Amino acid sequence: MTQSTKVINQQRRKGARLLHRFRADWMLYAMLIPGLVYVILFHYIPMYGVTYAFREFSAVKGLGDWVGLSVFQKLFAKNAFQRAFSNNILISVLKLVFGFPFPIILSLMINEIRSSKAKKLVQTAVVLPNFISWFIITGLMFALFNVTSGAIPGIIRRLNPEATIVNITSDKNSIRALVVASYVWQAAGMGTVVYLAAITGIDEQLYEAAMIDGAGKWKQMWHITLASLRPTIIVLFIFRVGGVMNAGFDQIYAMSNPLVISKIDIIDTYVYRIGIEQAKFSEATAAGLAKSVIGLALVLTTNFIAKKVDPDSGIM
Amino acid sequence: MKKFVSLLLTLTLLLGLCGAIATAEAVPTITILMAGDNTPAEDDSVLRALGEKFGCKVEIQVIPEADYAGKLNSLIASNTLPDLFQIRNSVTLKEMAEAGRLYNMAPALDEYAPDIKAYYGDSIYKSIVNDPDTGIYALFSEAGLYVNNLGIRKDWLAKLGKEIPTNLDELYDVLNAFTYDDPDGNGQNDTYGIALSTASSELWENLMAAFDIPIKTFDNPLCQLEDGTVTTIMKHPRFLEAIEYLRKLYQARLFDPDFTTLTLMQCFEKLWNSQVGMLGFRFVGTTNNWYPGRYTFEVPADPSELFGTVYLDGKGSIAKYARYDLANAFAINAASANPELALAIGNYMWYTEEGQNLTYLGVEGVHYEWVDKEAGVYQRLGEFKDDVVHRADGAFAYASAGGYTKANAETRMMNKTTQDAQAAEWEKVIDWPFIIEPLEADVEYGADLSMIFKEAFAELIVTTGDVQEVYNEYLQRWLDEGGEQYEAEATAAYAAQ
Amino acid sequence: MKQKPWKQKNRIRRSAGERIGYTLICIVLGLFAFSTIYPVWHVIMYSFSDSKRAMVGGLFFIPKGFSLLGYETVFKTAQIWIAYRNSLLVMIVGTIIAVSLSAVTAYPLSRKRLWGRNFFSMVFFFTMLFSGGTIPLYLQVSALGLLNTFWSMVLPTAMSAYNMFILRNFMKSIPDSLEESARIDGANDFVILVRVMLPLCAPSLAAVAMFYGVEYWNNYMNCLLYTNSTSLQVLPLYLRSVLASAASNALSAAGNLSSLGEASKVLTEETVKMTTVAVSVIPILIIYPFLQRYYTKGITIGAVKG
Repeated sequence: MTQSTKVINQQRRKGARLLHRFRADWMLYAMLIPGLVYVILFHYIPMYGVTYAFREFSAVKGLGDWVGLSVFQKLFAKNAFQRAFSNNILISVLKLVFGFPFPIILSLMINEIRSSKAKKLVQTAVVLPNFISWFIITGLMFALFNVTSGAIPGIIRRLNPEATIVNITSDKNSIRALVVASYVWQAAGMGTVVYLAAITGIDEQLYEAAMIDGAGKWKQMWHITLASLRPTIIVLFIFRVGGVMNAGFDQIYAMSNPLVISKIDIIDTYVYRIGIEQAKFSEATAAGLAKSVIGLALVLTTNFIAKKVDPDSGIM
Repeated sequence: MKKFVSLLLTLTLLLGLCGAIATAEAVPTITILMAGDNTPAEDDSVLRALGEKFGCKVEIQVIPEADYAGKLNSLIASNTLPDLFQIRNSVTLKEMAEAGRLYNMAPALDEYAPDIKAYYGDSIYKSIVNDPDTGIYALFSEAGLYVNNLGIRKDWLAKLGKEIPTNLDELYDVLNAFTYDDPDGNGQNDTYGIALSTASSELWENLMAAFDIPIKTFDNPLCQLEDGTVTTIMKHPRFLEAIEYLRKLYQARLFDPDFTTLTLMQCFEKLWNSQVGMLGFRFVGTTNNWYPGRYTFEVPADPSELFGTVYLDGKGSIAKYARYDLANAFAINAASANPELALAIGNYMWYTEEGQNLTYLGVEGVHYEWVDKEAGVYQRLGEFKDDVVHRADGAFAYASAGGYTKANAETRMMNKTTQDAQAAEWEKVIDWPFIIEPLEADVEYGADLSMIFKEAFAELIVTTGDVQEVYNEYLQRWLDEGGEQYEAEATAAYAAQ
Repeated sequence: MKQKPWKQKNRIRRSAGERIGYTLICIVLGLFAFSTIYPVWHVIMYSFSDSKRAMVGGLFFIPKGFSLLGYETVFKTAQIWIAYRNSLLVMIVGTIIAVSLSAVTAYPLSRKRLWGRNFFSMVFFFTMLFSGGTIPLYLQVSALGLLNTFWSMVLPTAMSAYNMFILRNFMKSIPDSLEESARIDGANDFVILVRVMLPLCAPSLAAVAMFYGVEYWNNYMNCLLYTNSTSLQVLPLYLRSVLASAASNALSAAGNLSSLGEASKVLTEETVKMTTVAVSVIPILIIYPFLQRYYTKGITIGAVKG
């Protein structure tokens, strides 16, 4: 047999195997069709919109000339955009560092509650902040920290009448901490939903076996619960990293005021402001695209690392 | 479960079908899109009355203000515009006119819209898209003809033995007494002199006008310097003097130190709750709309007994040029099947007294009846005494799109105190440079410059650092980030007017 | 007899450091739960308060005074019932479609033997990062002939890649042995999905259904952009207009229409705001415990297998 026929045979065999596989799994492929049709119709066809970042566009005139990277150049040259960009990264990282582990810890804690009624109550309680808007939440915060009538300055004043009271919602030094803390508080509930669902999916037999082996609560938590959660944690982490540049428009928009905006203005709020003045589709698209590209790069990196550590994990 | 789901699906399909059938009709339909806050029922009495009068079906869709631009852009891009619609952005307006997407009203004006023609006269050509040679494509809005009044509680003054202040020193004295001398006599230190918040420039108008500074908005407010330059009010010779005065009030706690987080509504609430003695706002609110229902304390029947107006060094607030509010216009779709009919309906709804009565008060005999038509006194009938029911049946909701004209029902029906105070204020307002043409620098840098001004204004009032230094820093930023170009363009455009 | 020793042992261990740990957990969770319950409680109590007394502010453990004026205002018109019906229909139909679509997509992607799995995953993941924006999507919805139909409020957001991947991940963790034993019994992939996978995935299906449900319930942009008729209006949009209308009442633009002659009948827009929030949150609070049951109830794989 010559070298070339060998290759051809190999290829033929490979092709035959693929065909065979496809025949065996045709139903799986068929199942993908509705989802694919959906993303093509409602995501991929409209995706030409990202080209607005590279060409002129107005709702009236439609698409205009290609302008290359000039929209990006102009946007990135602006001081206000640079400020928003660096704030964005800082706030995003802080939110990731503090916000990501919190729901895991919270879920583990909720899972420990013995009374099932109390467990349900706490579980319902923690998701509640997701159902009211940031405007209501910040409204409550403003009322709580109001220097004149707020509950917290009231308590401080009672303890120490001489204390100088600062409103932390309008103080440059404390605003970022407040943004991160309130985000962690608000977002924890929805995170616990997924983790608790995953925890209930863990085979009870594992715990029983561990108890027979004499493992304590701590060991069970570490070796069974957390170990079983690992794939979920990794996938959620990758998603979180992909969306890391979304630093929370609604929250920042609601919490902004002229005294603190220099510390918390982010890309989304900045783009919203320039967009509201005049319909600036190109700038908005360019900023969004920059965020997406950063997100994509981070996701691919994280996914690569995850695969290295554990070939079974990751999203791809 | 399966049965339930299929039932649901059929139901929803039927729902869709019903919608489809309803649109297939013989009489012409005029569709109108406007921004507003009320959602009347689809087939309400006012729309039916309009339809009967014009022999057509009138459909009006009211979109919340905040979402209007997004909706309009989608309709423009997909070429599915209604017959008559509002455009609230001068760049889009210009582009639409240039692209030939707007109907030229000029030839039809005499026949179908005599009231519009009579009302605007030649000033109609002030709009950037209207020209005697090329045609009339947009009618601009007049919303906001009201000027600001600086209101003061007369009963508090009387109680403390003070007079209405006439200059800034007296004002300080009165504000101090309002804050610390228990003007409401409840024994608690729970009052402030004046309600201020960075949520609205209107609250600061009269105070700043006392220094000859016109603060029309917090979005990059402009003034004209002696040499004719039109620039940011930060460059006004008395700007720092005004800031020093505000700092003095702030440090003495004569207004709520949380002025950057208070909402406009919370400022009103302070007035309603008797927690402040002064508020700079249109008396349309203070002595008319809020009176007496909103106030949580006993108020006299006549609002002029409770509230007086303050003029500092004889100056009032600032003038309004709403007649040329060109960023808020309404136009007719060039592709409309019945543009003349749409024009006639617009003319009737917003520019005739009869149409204003219909859109504002509703159908006579159903929603309201006149007590004294000459004096503008009416009463609402039966279940329509309730605002919600009244608006759901189409009254009030469509009244204000075209702007306030002399036919406007609202201005005719205000109480005497308010009408007098508005008239008096107009005599004392200070001027500010109103630029008609949209500036290129505004499109390019407007949002950034606005933010710089807002930050500077708040920071200068509270800063514990060196005021001059902070001021220099912000002014430099303003100049560096497009302000110089803005200044040049604004000066040239204003001089050309 | 053999089991007793470890049970005792376990009890002894619990009584030591674990008891302190447990108490600590209870305290922390209690405080946290309080902080998350209070805002919703505040909103509901405020909505029942008398507007004039509520204006003073402060904390609302019980209503200040009592008034149903806010609710009267919100529920006065027939439109709210239309909006409620539409919102419910959108939520129910939307959630059913979205969960089915996600499950059907997640299952093949969770099978390791599927050739091209990574490619397809990427195809779906990409939609999370990149989007064409409002106008291209509007044009597409228009091209599909969906404008001003019920389906325009359901289909454009019929699947989120995020939720789909959560389901996929869950399916991944289910041992292959279950699938194989079903296959030996002659089941095809579709039967395996419906009979084996979905029951095992009940907790995550419930979680995902909740995500979709809340999203559909709160979504007003679809309705606002793609429909023109108030007969298709959804609740959040209606409540927005009630709120905006109340707010403009306080500003001068709304005019002096208010029949506020009776001083006792005062309604501030703050009360209206709180009422509208309460009206839209309460249905979720009612539905939530039903879904919650599914993901708090432990499922032992062994039990299903048997």
